[in-house]
Amino acid sequence: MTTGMVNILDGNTFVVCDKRGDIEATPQDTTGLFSFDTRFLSRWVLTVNGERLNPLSVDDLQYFESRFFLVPGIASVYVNATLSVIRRRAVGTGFHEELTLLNHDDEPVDLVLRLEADADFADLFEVKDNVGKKGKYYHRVAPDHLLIGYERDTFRRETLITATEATRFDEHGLTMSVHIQPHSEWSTDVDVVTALLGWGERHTRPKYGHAGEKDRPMAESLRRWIDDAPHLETDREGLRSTYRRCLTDLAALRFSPPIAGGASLPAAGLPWFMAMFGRDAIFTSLQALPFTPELAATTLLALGSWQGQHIDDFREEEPGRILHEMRYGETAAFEEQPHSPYYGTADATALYVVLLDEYERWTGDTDLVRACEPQARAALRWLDEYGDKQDNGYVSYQRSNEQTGLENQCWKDSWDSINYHDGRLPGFPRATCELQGYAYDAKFRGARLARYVWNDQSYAHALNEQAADLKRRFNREFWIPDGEYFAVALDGNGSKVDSMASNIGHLLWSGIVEHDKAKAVVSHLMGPRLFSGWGIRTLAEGEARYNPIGYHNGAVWPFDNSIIAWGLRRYGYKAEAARVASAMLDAAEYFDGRLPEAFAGYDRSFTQYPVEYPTACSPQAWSTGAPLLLLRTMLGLNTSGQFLVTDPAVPPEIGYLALLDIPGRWGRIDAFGRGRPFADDSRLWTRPPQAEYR
Amino acid sequence: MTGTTTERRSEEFFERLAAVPHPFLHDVSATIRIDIEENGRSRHFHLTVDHGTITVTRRNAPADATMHTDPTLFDQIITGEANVLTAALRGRLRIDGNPRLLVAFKRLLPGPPTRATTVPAPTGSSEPTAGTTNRTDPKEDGR
Repeated sequence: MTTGMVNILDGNTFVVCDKRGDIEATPQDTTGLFSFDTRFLSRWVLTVNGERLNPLSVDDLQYFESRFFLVPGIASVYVNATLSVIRRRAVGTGFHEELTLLNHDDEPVDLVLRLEADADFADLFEVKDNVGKKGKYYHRVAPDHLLIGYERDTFRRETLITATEATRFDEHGLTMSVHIQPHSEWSTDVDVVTALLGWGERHTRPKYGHAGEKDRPMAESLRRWIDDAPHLETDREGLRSTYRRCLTDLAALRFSPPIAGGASLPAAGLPWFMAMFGRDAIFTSLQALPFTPELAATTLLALGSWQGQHIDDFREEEPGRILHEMRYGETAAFEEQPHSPYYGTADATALYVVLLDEYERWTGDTDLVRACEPQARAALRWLDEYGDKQDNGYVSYQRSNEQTGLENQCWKDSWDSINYHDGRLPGFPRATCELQGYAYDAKFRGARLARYVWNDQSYAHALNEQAADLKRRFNREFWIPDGEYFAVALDGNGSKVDSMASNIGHLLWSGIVEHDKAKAVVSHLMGPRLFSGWGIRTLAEGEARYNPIGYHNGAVWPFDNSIIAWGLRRYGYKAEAARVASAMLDAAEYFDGRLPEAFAGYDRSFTQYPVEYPTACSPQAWSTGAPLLLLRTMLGLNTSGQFLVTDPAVPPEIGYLALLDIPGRWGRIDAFGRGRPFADDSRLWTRPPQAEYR
Repeated sequence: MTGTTTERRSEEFFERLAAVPHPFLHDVSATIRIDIEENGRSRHFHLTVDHGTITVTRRNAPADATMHTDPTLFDQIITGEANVLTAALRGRLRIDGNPRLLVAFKRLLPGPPTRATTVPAPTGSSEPTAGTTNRTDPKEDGR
């Protein structure tokens, strides 16, 4: 994201503009008003008497609202302004802009106010890849509006611009002649409304109108969201603001796809991923479960309703498979991209069952677990039938869409993320190790749901047997005895892909690691090859493809670290989990509480501060969820039957932690922890794996 | 293909829907109307989805969602050649009412016509060669 840009967003609609509030998009950048993966405004430039304005300050009032204070004239040392301009803009179904002009002079003024407007209707994928348009544009000027449209066959997207004050509209914008008395003000409201024609929508007013009284639905919704979440008390001021930032960003990233009937789930992240992603929505819902369990409920229902039914090579749909990505832009509509939806993920299906069980443990909402039973059974069936591409009992992937499908269908989905120690890339299908962990956990948890909710004892028994068998084979066939760690994958021939990667940390989270192997795995994770001081790197130093700014080959991902910290706790490595949490929360403070998608894997002693990955998305849902999950791991929050249990292990850098009103099947309960130094031998202290789950 | 063939095919499609249970819609209760429009004339199919069972009438009654389509597109939809979501995004299929019901309706539709499903052969563990799915630009190898 370009620095110095201002973002406001609401679900999948967002505005990116400069400090003046202006939008001047070039084909390849992401400034503009975006909705449903389409740019509905690519130009939006305000002038007064033909002159651009000069920014004095910007207030980000709310995640959906900003205010720009401007004066006429170009930037200079001395600005003698007798006129101020305030733009207050809020995003909704499009956006609403309140323009206020203040005349500070003793004389009246006559001004010409001009807003240049245009829309290129670029698909986000075109912005990313710079592809030309195939349809036609049209502009319709009426006395009370300007309509800018784009048409390709029956595909139509339109932007409608209206204003409350007397306005002359033309094809390129709108003009107002303004007379202001001395020491007086003048204002007008401009609405920009986006429309997807034929998609159950007509031109409507924005979903809330005005900065002031009428914006209360969104402000109220944010207030309720924050009030409903647990309250954090701590002496660590940075942590308090990080927590607040996370809750607010999570609210902003809530997204109500038209197929979810008004309920919301987390979109993946700004700007590229303001869309429904299976994996990201599930992980974020897991991270946020102790804080905002309703995200998990919507995620389960929305992903369940889109679960694959048929075999479709283009979309990589298979019966029981949970979707990877859903898009609404032109390239998806014309099937130039497969996102309608695209199913090319090998992990979301198992993770769906994991989330369903974890959700029930926290909320006791057995109704939803019963409602999702067909989906959960189909998901578990997928693991054995379609997910097992080599018929060897392991989940693996090989894309069926050779043109536009993803090569790597695990969370590390860049093309070279899975590699051997010497840098070669393995053949397909690839069975990455964490996929086996997720499958094991899904079967194990599915068995619990079958026993206690679906009342199917024989299914429960079969799933438990399968899980135990998978664990046995996995610990034998993925283990690299010389190095004492698990191979990152098995390749197309069933041979080990021998690089050391952060994936082994996910294995702890899933519980698939045999007890006698855990200590070695933990010492690798916390050792100098993987742990940078800021967090655990995606790929260990010393691997041929290691690169501290390699997206999945060396960078540190906050989401990855939060899951690994949870895994360390699962195996009793409290001090190590606290160390990861502490490092990550330190890093968060350098980013004003908003952890980016990834940061560089440089050693902490080398950079002193965490270096943001060059094109990282921010805010990003599962980075936003990371501090929440780290709070959970530090307090050792877990469920046990009807109860919430806590087992705090708070790092000494934090004096005390109190999380009040944690929602769950127990009603609301508080948890407390105090920071204590860990004894040197604490890392040797373990307790039997899965003690928390049995 | 004659108009009568597609008409008969659409009628048979709805008859089949009503004849079998739909377990994946067990938590859906809603009405959906499909309007197949041609030359100013419209054929209506009114579906009542009630916890996995479907009844179909030819009433032109209000519904929670109404989908407007044409005979050609509808025939492609029920043979799996056209996708309802992309048809809706293109404006070929218009939805009034609750768009969420498009997802429920989609569950009743067949998948794309089956091609000879070929399972790609394992590509082994060797260095990827030109023509395989891996990008092998040596500059990107980082070595």
